[in-house]
Amino acid sequence: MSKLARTQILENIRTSLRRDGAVDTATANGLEARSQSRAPHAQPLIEGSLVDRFIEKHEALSGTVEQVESWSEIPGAVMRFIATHHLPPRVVISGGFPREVDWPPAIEVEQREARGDDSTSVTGSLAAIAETGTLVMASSKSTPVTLNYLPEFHVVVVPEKSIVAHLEEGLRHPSLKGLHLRAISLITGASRTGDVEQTILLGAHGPRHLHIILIRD
Amino acid sequence: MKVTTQQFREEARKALGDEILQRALAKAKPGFINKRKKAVDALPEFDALRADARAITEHTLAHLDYYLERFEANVVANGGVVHWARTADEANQIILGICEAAGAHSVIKGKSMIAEEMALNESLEGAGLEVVETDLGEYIIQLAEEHPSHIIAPAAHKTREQITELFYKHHRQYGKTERQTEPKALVDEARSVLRDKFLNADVGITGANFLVAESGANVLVTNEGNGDLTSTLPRVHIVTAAIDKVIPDLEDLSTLLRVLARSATGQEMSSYTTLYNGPRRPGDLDGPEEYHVVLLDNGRSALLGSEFHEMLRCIRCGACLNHCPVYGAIGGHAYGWVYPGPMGAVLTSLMLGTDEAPDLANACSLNGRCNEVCPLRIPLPRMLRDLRAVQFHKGGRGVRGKFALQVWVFFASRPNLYHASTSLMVKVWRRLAGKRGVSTFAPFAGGWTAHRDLPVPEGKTFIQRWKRERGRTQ
Repeated sequence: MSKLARTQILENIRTSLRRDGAVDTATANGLEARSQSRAPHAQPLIEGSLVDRFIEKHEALSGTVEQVESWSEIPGAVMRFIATHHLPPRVVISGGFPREVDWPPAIEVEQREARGDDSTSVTGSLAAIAETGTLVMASSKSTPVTLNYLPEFHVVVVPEKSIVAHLEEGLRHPSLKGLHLRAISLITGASRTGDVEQTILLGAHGPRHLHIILIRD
Repeated sequence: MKVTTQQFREEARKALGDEILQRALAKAKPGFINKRKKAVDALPEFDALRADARAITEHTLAHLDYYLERFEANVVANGGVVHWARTADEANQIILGICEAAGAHSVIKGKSMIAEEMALNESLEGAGLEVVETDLGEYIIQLAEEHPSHIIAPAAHKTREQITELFYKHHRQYGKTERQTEPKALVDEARSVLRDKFLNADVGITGANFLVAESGANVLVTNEGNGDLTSTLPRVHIVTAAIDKVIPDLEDLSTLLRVLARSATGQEMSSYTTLYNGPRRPGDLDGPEEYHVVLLDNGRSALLGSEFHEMLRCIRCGACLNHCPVYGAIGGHAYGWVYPGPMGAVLTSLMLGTDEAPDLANACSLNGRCNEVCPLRIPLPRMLRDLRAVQFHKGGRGVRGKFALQVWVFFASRPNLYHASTSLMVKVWRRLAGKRGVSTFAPFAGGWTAHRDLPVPEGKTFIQRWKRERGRTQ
């Protein structure tokens, strides 16, 4: 069934487009060149500091930010976040994160995928997009995607130098090239819903709070 | 689902008299309009983006076979399986086959209009599978045993009180025995009930907002994160998508994302936009082991190159619904099938035929707002007019209108007779109206004058006054 359906759908398309068969070689080359050009279409103008814009956009979505100087300050920042929100002192983290960090014994740290009852995850990010306050995350052996979606509180470490201006730069990030990863996630603020009388509420199914630790280093 | 497009007039009348529905609609409408406006006003480049978005979709449609084949090749290279379905029935059979082969008992779903078009839930439940919708709005209407009334806010017609009662009734089995009345408490309760469903389902089915030919990715846009959990937690992930969802590459995706969220909810970006490339990779700690994409035609290939092909540019943002005075007055259910509002009136008439949906193309005042706000600038009013022409040439319903038009043509093509008869009519009308100068009667417009008075003409026809004015100035 499937093969016949495929043939017939493609044939119908070609008939509707008044073409006998597949596109000719010259056209195919042109289409290939279009994709290879990587030329962006019209983009929003972005002026001024990317870091400031990223913070402004993220905070406008009810997100919170703490700026620190270096990687070694991360455990302290995570502890502060946990204390502020009265969370249990347990976090699940992604691997290779965020370089080797010395976690104090006061906090229980596990590196694995998230489970249904994890309250807080701490992960790195590949890049951040100033245009919309968006984080770019990619799935891999050491970065399971459930960490982004299951826990109620998600803390993300973002080095300032990883902030890019536009969406295209995030999607075409050099570190993604040729990897064929399962998932590339663009995350803009916490999980939200407007399905009860258009009242916007956070924490529909994913995290209710997205906290960013921004590293100046 | 049961198609009730034939009963449009009756259903629309019922909707107008439904106080609860009217309250829900009144609450929803201004929010959508204001949020979109704010987002669009904040982006000076919006019209340039729209022009690009339009060009991208036209380019894709002109090479649709090429991009579909390219998409397919990349999905296969990424370890996924692509299935092609000519009809909704074929698509349902394919999905049932996958579920059966996987030995599945339970299915969770992300919101998908294509699945609604296929009546997928009925098909799966008919085969004995448990199906749970995970988008909060879809979940609410699944409990109410209804269908979406809006393409992006499926439960827009439900009030908070109704949701309270639905949850109270259906969540008792999970030990939730209190009536929750606050929106936050309602959302929290649904989160906790659905969490277990996510963790225990065998198959996850989602729609796709876009399919990227360049990489084989399906792009899923949600705000709740339910689509990502549905794509990630079950052992099998099935994506349902219409063939017109394919786009060439990531630059094209960027442009379309920029206009989509702004037009839909007034956001710059929805919370979650994820590109899924297939099953889990060796060593991955989560993600499905099987990944399928079902490509559905369902009449779309025949629309290509026709006077209605521009409908295939639609990215399902819902802006035309939110700005339509008819939708705003009657809501989505009266339209009688899956797609309501202006885009729905066109699509339903095309997919089911104007005989099955005789009133939808006529339920429009041609005010043009849908065309103004459409991010892809789809000429919806023009297409609704064309559908009326199709209907007129076919005969059938609307015979009275046809007769009236023929009478008018008879007079209008005989100018002397036309002038004589209109000046006579104006005189008679003027006399009937008396001193008040208004009439409670107008030929062919009984529905209009039933609730309003019509100011009658001043006593002379336009041609008569024109002649007099010209006489003065010359």
